[in-house]
Amino acid sequence: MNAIETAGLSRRYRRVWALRDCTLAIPAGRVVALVGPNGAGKTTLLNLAVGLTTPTEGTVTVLDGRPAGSAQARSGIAFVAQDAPLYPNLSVADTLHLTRNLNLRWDQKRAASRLAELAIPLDRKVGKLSGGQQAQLALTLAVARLPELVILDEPLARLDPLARHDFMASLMAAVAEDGLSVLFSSHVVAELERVADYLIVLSRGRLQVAGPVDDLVAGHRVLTGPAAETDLFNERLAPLHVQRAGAQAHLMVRMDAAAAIPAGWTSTPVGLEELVLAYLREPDATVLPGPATLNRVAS
Amino acid sequence: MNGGTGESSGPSPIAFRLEPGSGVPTYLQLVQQVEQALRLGYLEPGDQLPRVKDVVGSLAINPNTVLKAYRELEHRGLAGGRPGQGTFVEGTLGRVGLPQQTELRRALTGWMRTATDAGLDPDGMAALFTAALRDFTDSAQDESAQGHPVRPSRRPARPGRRDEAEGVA
Amino acid sequence: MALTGAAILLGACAVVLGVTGLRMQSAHNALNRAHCFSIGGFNVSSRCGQLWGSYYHGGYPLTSSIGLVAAALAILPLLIGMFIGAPLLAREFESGTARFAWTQAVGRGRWTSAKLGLLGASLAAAGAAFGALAGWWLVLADGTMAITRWQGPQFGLTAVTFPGWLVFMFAAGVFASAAIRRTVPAMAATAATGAVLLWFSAEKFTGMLTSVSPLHTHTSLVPATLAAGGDSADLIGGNAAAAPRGGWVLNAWFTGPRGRIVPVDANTLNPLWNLKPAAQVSWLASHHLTPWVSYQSAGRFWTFQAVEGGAAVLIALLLAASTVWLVRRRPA
Repeated sequence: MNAIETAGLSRRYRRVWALRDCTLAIPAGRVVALVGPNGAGKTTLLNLAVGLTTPTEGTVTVLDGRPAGSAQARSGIAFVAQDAPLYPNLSVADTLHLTRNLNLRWDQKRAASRLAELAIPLDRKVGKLSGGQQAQLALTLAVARLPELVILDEPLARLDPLARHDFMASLMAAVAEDGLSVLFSSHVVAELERVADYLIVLSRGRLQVAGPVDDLVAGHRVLTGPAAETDLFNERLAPLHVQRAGAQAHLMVRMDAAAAIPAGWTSTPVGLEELVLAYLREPDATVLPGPATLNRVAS
Repeated sequence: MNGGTGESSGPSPIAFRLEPGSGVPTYLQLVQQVEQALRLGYLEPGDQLPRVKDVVGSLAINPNTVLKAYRELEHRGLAGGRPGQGTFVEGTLGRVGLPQQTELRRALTGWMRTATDAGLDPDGMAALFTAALRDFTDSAQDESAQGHPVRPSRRPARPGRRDEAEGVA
Repeated sequence: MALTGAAILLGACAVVLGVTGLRMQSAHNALNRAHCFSIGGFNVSSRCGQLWGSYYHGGYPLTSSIGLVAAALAILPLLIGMFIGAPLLAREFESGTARFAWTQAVGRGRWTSAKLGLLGASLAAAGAAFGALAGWWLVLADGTMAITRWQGPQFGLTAVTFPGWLVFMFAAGVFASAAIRRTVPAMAATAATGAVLLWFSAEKFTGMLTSVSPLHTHTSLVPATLAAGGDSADLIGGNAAAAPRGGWVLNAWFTGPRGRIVPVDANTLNPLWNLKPAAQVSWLASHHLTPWVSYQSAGRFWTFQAVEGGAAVLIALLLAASTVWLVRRRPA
């Protein structure tokens, strides 16, 4: 089962393509990080997935073929938009009541006990909660809808480090309890490795990377060796990123640990952050691992 | 649940913590902490390991990471899952005997003297040792991939970096 | 917050109308209006008019500004449109709550319809209640000869037209909200549209409406303003006193012996004003003059009210449907 499937998905705002020709199949049961610089099209992709935006071209379906934005799709997806917008003049209790009335499935006990654990008072106005509490409330509302997929747009952007940790802990606990799928966007790369097991990198509206984190990490190595020999690799391996000094060079290439390395070179593994940064640095890199090629690397 | 790492979470005698900057994959950090707890006597057979939900709720990590660590512990024969209850310690860690340890240590000290005579300082020795260990574990992994396990416990086939990282630690 | 403000505003207006209305009511009762209207249903007795005026002007200082009060009340729908209608969706877009509300299971169409329907129905109910009060007040104020309920902003202040205007301006505000998506420009657009329509309605629409096939009648009495020069605009402008009770005079003229319209000089009629009504009739007969008026009868008032109110509600429904359509169609 796929949480989200897109085919040739494109979205244009006036003259500018926010997303172009994006073909994806995100399996269910994953915690998917959607990464890319500001303006890469992350929000557009998420909005398309939840039906807030309609495609200019292409298709997007969720939860095994339900058209994005349809009634069946909406009942299975909970969306937390950027900055977790809620009605500031409503109390927490009224917000729960409202959300309950806006949905068919709702677990009031779950919502109430979560808020109690988080020590968020029910009679407080939402506008008077801290940023972290608002984010937690939005997550509580999302989880209490008993969705199959939770989509979050930059959930961590405005949170301080402690609130970030607590928010992610709550989200991961929900994943552990309910086995739901998660898709979240972030421009913070450093913290992804702990939570994400599937990675999508968007750059300038185009899909750059998509695949399981384990496969991606296993499918990339950094080769270190004499700078003079760098050209040997350019054709054969098309390095993703080259760091070259007078004598020594580091090349990030797509290869697994078992691949043969020429004498005089050493191969070291890469971390997820390093890998993501390398892709972000080279948005036009001709090495575009689509899901299919990555599967080959992983096998 | 709300991320308080200081409180005891759940029925387990141990609680996990993470070293984000260590470079060691998260799941392996969990595995190592269980092994460490076994060695130091914090954990004994029959003890329950922290529940996935509790670990995830306090460390903010992907639940699959915890499951992977527990699977790894099962592969190593140290733990076993009981349906509906959780994961429990089942094995003990095979220790290297004290006399044997002393002997190994003596050999290593001898090598260090030789290295010092050759002009290598402690940092240089550490670099050399790390590189050699990496080569050793890499070749061990290749052999295991060809069906000649060099260790008693089965290792996961893929993650090269993780094996090395464990070897370094 | 805007809702609370509107409720407070309506409440305050209702209190003012209630208090002043009750005072007019008691003055009205004291005057024994039945006497004033006793002659053929025409309120032209100068004695009665003086008495009426003395009661109102002496004991009731607001009389001179009744027209102003009525105009202020007529602006209420515009304020509702600006402060409740226009921000309704625009604020959701600006604060991002649209992205919360629209992604819940019920969906954006139903959410918007529910908001529109609930608020619209509440406004209609509040407007009908308030309009009933304002209508009662206007009937009393009508007698002061300062204004007529038939025309100007007052026509929009009954239990039929007031909720109509409220719902219409609200729907217009929400439509602007959905189309423009920013609060302040949507408020400006609503204000501009509302002001133009209010002006049109006050100045033109009711005029058009009430000139629909007026009734003609022969009258035994001379409308007062006619004597001053026969300017029919003055009649339409406010001399309700010349109309059959509750009705509205649109025009007045004299016919001569052969049934043709004849111009009459104001000075010619001067001797009339010192005569009693019965003597006035014989004076006119002796001069071969027959006074006529064209008017809308009191019974038609509610027909016209229903037309204006119905049109407002109909357009409001169209605007609401367009709003839902816009919300469904356009990406967030």
